[in-house]
Amino acid sequence: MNYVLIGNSVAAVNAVAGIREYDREGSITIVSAEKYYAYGRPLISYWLEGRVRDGNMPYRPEDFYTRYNVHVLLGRRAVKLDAEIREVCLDDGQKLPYDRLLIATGGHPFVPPIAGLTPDNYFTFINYDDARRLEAVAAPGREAVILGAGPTGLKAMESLVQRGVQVTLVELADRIWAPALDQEAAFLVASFLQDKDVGLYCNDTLVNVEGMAGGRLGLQLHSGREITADILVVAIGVRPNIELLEGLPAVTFNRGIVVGPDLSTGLPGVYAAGDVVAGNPPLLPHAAIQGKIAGRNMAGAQETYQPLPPYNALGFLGLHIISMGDSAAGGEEYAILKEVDPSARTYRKLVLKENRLAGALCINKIDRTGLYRRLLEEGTDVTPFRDEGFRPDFGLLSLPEEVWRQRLAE
Amino acid sequence: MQKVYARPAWCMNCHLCEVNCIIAHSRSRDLFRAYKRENLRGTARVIVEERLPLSVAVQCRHCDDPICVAGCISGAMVKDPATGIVYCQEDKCVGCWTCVAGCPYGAIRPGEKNGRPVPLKCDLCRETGEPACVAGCPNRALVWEERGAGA
Repeated sequence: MNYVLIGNSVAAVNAVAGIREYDREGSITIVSAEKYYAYGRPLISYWLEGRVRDGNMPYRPEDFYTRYNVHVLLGRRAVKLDAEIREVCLDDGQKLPYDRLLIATGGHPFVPPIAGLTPDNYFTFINYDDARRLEAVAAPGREAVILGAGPTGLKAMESLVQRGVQVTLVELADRIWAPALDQEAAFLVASFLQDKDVGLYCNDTLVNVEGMAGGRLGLQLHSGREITADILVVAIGVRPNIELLEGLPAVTFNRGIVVGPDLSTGLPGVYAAGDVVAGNPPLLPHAAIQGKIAGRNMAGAQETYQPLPPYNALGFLGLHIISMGDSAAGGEEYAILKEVDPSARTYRKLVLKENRLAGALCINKIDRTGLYRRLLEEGTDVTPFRDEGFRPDFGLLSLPEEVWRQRLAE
Repeated sequence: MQKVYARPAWCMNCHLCEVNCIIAHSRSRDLFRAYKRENLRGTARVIVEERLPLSVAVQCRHCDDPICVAGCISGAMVKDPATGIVYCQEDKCVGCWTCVAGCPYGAIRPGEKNGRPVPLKCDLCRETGEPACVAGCPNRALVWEERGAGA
């Protein structure tokens, strides 16, 4: 069997492991647009602030590709797919035939059209090269504006602050990371950032960029506010890299590639995993799990990917947030259980819908939050123990006896 | 694989498993030094839950497809293919705590050692043989055994 994997990040690397569980002989080729062996993408902010060095960036040990017998083409792009004859063309003219193909191309930063924005006057923040470009300019005393106060913008903020850069976040929504944080939680985080001397403008966006003397940028916001900065980072979201499959019959898109329960795409032998898949939150655990299952299925297994509710851990400047499911949900159909201590900056909230956990949000008090995640994932009726949720000793013994006995035996 | 199983009927809530876990994961391997010099109080990788008179020790189940490994952003958390043990390569951990959010048993806690993040989770004392919690349990409320596939 001849496997070709387009992409060399978390989904592809886990697909290799999945393939090798079933097929130790088949040939595996990875096509990597980046010139690096796989690294954990979220590590770039840790690298930029100097907490992780180059040597600790690799996602898997150095011998991973040899141990799993993988041929890697670094710095190459797949430009065309011929699904009839099962062949991928690369940007250097090379043609790779395949029996099974994985599309694990991830996403690219979405950059809206903004007057005056040119490729050399802004930064994005999703890969190693982005971090390297930023490292060259992020010197103490400089000023940066980050467009977008979601997870990517907040991690970029953290690493720039740690490098001594004065940071201002500009966010179109009415609060920080609106899809995950409700008003109260976002206010708590905003007050934390204020203490850290990070600027924040909500309900606002960038409409014009102008070059100024000394390489500085004049930034005009929608509100009419004008600010200046040395560094502009655009971090408002990612879009799936679907180009390779665009225009091919039998493939459907909903922003990303629509896949079947076995992660196949509709084209014979072609699978997809990770951020490129439709409806997938661009989250690392989900990419890893999908990659593993896609790999197994490419090698002949018949596993189903059970969509996993989104969950995320985000920490910056010492604050830790864990969110899962509809963590920002409000409204009549939900029951909200909350425990807030503004002075300690702790916040815990469980969102219930029809007596089942629909979401959870924990700030600075995150011990054992995985217990909530499992209740959410399994849709457990929490009625018998809903008053236990915030007990300091909330644990397995909070659950009905037959449940905890089963879990201990797993 | 051989795992630690709790037998709550035999647990007398002595918390010795926690103490022995801390000693086993200390530099000195000595109770006094671990608590007073290395400042390791509270860093057990096994948690005794109490609903008295019921008590039970909870620790990592070393899942077949561990979500802590899938979710690890740095590649620090791994499952040893030979032994099945799930453990963290602590020098690679950045303390994002995705593993804490993932663990279905709440068996990973955020911790710290010498200013570096350490996920506090059971590694089945992989470097020393029989897990210290089992070896030191006075009532065989914890056992280390093979219960076959799916167990």
